[in-house]
Amino acid sequence: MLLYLSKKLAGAFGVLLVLSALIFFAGRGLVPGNPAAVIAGPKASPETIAAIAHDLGLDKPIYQQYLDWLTAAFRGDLGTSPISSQANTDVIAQQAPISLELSLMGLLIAVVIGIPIGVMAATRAGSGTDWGIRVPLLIVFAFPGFVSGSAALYLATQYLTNLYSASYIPFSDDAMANLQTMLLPALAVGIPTAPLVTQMTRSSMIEVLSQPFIATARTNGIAEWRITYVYALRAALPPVLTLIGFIFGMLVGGLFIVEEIFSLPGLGRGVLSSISSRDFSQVTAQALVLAGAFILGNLLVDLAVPFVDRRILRK
Amino acid sequence: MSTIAERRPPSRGARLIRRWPVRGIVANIALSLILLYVVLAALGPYITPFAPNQVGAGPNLSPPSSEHWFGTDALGRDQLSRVITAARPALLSAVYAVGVALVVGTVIGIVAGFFGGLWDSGLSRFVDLLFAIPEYLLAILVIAVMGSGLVNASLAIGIVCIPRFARIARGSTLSIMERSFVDAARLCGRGRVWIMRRHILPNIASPLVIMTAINLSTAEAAYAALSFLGFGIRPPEADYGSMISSSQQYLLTDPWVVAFPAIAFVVLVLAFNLIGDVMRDQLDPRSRTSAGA
Repeated sequence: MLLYLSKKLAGAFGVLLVLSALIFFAGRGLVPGNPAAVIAGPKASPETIAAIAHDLGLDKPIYQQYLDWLTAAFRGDLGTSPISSQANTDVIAQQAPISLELSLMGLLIAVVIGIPIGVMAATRAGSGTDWGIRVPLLIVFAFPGFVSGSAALYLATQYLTNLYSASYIPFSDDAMANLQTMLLPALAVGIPTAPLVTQMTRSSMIEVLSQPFIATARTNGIAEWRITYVYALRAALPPVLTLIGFIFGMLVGGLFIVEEIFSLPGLGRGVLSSISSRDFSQVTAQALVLAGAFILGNLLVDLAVPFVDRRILRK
Repeated sequence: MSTIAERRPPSRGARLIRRWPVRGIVANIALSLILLYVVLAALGPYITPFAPNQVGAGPNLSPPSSEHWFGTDALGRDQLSRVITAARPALLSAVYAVGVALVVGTVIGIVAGFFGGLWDSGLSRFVDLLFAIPEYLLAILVIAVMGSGLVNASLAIGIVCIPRFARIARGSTLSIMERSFVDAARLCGRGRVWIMRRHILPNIASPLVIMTAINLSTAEAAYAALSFLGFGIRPPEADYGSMISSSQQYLLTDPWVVAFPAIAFVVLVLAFNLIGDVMRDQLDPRSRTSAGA
């Protein structure tokens, strides 16, 4: 167990380290030429540019800048935006909770819809019910998030005016009002991902249901619902859990689009606006937090799998 | 007893039908839809009723009519012309992106599988790392560095898709390497490149073709999403993603402005999706058995 844990931890840390370098240099690539000249403006004298470059540490060699940035990041300091002169951690502290809430609600919706439907389709595999469940889901999956999101926004503002309110209110201020804003975007994130969960649950359940221990349970007279939902589902879960790790990636992609459609001031929209204002310092910080959250989510999934399926540890 | 007339070889048309690679009504509908888009993309400028970027071709935001079948957008541009014109960037982006991923991913996968050892662990690490980055974040970072546009956005998507092809190519290469004809070629003194090209590549083609078909739809959807976010082909050029995002504000009052590009785009993605599924079912023996389970 400990070996498994430390292996996964070291792997996640290594990936994060390499990603941090990638993100740092991509952030620098965002600004063509000398960032200090861009900040100083077109009419600045060479002395001002040099002074700004010195203040920001931009006159050091690039690997030195990266190491400085990395050590600061380990201390929890993600730098200050030279454009808005706000601390990046402050900006992220405002944006990240929105994105986190959105992705967790979206994931919850995908799982709550996806797993029961997948189980239902598996127990009736090949029947009309099976197809009646799968075909609509496949069609939903073919609709890209920005089309279904726009459509949902249209329907809600037209017909369900009580369901959706366009202005974002923090959860701590008014929980109901917050949910009123977040439910629709969360559905727009969750529903397109549900078919993936359904497919994986279905195929994994079908495999488990054909195994001898299920037949044994049946001959022992255990209730059918117990066999399906306790014995089989538990054995069928590990691939579904691994898929959830993969879904985190889709959720991050969904953040960019859904936050843009519903005008939510979250991290995805923050990255886009930092890119358009060429704020390399802020975009680096935001991308690092996004990537870190994604890696952390995958790590949690990896750590959860052995609790569901002990066989993993024996390999 | 069969007569000579009966033994006559089937006519050209019959042979063509028998060799037609795609079976099933759904798949053929999907294929014809894609061909339709290809024709629209190729003939685009010659068949549009109006110039796609002509402002004021009709009154602003007019509903579908006999003159403007799909209505007009907020600048009075003819929507039918724009939807037809947008077929070209949609198809090109998918082809560019998958082309990059197919070529680079296959080379990485074959080299990793064939040489093994340090090559394999190095390249596999690299592929795992690419896989470990959220796809859209990677694509957006690539675009942030290279700038937006059709080619750059497609390239970004291609880079995101490389790991999928590399993994499939590596796995298939490893299984082909076990076969005796590879050893035989070695004993005959054939070079490594010759073996990779003449023995490995043809034998791993089938899973790669399936992967290509599946990825065409995801690449097309990803490009439209990037274009929706403003990273695609520059306005005023017509493009499904940017057409949807720029007319979003009229969704409540004039829904057709969003509906037509959205429908055109979803039909294309669905068609790609169906072709991918059918190819997987027909070429991949494993999925055939699991579908019947």
